[in-house]
Amino acid sequence: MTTDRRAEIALRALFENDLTELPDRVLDAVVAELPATPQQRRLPRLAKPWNGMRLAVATIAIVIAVVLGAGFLSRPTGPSQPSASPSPPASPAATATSSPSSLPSPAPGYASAPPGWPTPEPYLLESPLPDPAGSPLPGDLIGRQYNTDPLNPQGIQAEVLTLRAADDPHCVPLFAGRSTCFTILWTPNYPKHIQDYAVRGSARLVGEDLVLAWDVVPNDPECQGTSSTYAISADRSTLTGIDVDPCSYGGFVEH
Amino acid sequence: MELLDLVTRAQSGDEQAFASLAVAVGGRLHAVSKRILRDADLAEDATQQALLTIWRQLPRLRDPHRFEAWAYRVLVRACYAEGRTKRRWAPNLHALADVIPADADAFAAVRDRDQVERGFRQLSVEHRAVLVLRYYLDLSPDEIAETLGIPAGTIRSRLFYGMQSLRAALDADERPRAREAVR
Repeated sequence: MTTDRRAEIALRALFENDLTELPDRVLDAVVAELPATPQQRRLPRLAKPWNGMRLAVATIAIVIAVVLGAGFLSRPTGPSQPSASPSPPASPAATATSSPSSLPSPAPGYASAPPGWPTPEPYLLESPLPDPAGSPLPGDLIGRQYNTDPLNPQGIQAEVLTLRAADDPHCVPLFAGRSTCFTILWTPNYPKHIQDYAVRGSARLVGEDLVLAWDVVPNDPECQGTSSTYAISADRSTLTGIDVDPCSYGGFVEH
Repeated sequence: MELLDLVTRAQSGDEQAFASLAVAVGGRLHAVSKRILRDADLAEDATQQALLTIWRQLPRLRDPHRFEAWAYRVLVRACYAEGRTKRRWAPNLHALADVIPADADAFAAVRDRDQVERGFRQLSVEHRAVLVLRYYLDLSPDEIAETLGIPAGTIRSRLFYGMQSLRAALDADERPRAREAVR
């Protein structure tokens, strides 16, 4: 018999012969400590609206009221008039008299916000983050969007992972154009999570695996600094967790 | 009640559900920690710490289906902590076989096990953990990588080094006997 085989047999015998039972006192001690051991709740990633946003939301509310009121007053008799819907917050392309738009479809993570609705803004840092380990994402991963697995829907919204190029406006403030990055954003950012910075950080390849570093998680500081590793399927359509922090998702599935 | 149901209820703060969950998985976790640490007291401490960490962090586990693998990861981290911070005096005692081996093969097997145990104790906790997951839980290197959150290449390297050390322990035992045979 080879030494390899002998070593394996001896090791298995060593493990098999080692009878163990968890003493009741250990379980009792654990149960006794539960009331004094608070659980770490996962915070909802709902950003506190900044003052400008509050103003924008108030503006939206007024615009909605005006549009609805005008629509109601000018509506001719007849049942088939389209109803008005909320306008996006003030933007160069939007006016208070913007035309009514249809509501997003009810599929989570696939719906679209009303036309002109602002997309989430890049998160600005005082100074860029240090260079992350690994290598930049290849071109065929850039721009891909994935639903989380399991899906985390809120009505028509869901968190969506987007892999971004180093010069993407979301990546530049984080790494000054030196690294590919990712965002996990509520998609669409309508009607809730309008200005939710959610999660963003470096997206790199380490070996053949994708490493997502949760560098910026403004609403869940405990998760900031964690990272998770995913295996990438050959067709790039699924990301399967192989080292996943509890903060992150077990996997992602492409839209 | 199914494990998944207990996990889900414990995630929402149900202490009774967690107590049942601890009973359901505590024995398996302890068996692993005892084999990694080779010390009953350290293993109990590691298991206790792991169970409390699991309780604390359970609401942050997004996919309850991954509970078991995640629990092993928490446990192995607790073993690292126990193994590193509490360097107690540990008598190198191990139980003798109840029955004296009747033949040469059985005697050789007991001797091999004894040598392997000595070699195993010389390894770092990280290497021991990988060997336990591989040869006690029968996980594949890829499954160990997923469980521990370490690249598969690192797992393979630790397995290789760990087994190499155990082989060396057996070989070292062979040499004096071979020399005696020559005399």
